[in-house]
Amino acid sequence: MRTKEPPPPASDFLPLTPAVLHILLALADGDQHGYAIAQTVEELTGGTVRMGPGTLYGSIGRMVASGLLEESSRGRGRVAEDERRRFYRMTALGRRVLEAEMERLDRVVALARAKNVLRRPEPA
Amino acid sequence: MRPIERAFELVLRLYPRAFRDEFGDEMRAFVEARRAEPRHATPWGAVRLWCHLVVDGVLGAIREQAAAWSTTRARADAPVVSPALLPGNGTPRGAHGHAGSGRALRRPHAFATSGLHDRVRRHAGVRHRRHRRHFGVVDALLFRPLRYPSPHQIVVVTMTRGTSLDDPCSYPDFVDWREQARSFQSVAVIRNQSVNLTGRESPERLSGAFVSASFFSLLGADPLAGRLFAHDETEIETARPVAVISEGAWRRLFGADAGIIGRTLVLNGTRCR
Repeated sequence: MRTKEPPPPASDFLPLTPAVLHILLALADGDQHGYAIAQTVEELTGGTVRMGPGTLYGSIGRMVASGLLEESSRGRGRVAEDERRRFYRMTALGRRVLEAEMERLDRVVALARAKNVLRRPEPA
Repeated sequence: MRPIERAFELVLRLYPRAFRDEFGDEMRAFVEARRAEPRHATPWGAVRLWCHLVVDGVLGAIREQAAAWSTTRARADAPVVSPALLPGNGTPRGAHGHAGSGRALRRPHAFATSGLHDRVRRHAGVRHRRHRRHFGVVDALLFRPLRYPSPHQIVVVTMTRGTSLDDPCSYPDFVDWREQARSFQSVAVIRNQSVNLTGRESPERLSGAFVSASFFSLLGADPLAGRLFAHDETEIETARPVAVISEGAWRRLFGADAGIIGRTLVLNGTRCR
């Protein structure tokens, strides 16, 4: 019988750094390699968040070590891809942490609206 | 190799060796892909990319060097606790399988001043990560030979799973190895694990390890104060959870209090002696 270490609670990881938050968001739709993650983050943020390899792979390393990400079974050397690239995917813990962070940010936004420091979106 | 990639090679050298081993190839592929983007085809685009890579790379290297230094320092303060602290169904979770043999074990000739030989702890710790292992091998073979008795007879056994070549084994596997292996004089298991120390003025998060009772005897380590684990104290769901703390933890957390032996510590909510 094999057993696994129970994951730490999602709240242990909050608040997330911008890099970790955007990497998790980029992986929400599926496995990606590092360069594709950086491209997705740039697209999702309209070019305002541009990750270099130092930030990206430093974050990925820590996220893998803490169980938020894992190397995808697609592994290295997918056909037509650079064999040096590895694919990463979000773990169940990573998804829970992302959801918890989104809920936390949602509460912050609600608070900002209650304090009249954030306008409500105008109806379409 | 183009100038940008040559420059990035220099930046890459600022990173800890282990980080380069792990991510160097991916980072190079990343830089090549970035350089090939149309927006970087112009001279101005190339300059912007060069600046971005250098700044990001140097800041990243500083972060990784700081993290590596922090990890080394945390290991120096690492306590060692028995598997009795493991919650759940009584099985260590993903325990690393470390097996070894040590015939004619002798006591190490030098000890730290408290519960655990400092070098034993450091060298036991380095076995769990690739970069630590690389450092440990070079350090041991070229500079400072391990001070365990018969170090050439100690081997580390880990599992493979998928692409991972250094995967933890389960505790039942360890038990099977311990009972059935005939090639080893002694078999021990260790799993690195952080624990919460509470019941004091301020809680502490400590890096440590769950180990079997045979761990210390396999390495030939004895405490200078107190005692090490009895066999029944490291069995699953033991009624007598115990802990061994390092000299670093003894000095930092308890002010080198000579009366620490036998005192109760609350680790992960479990009272240990």
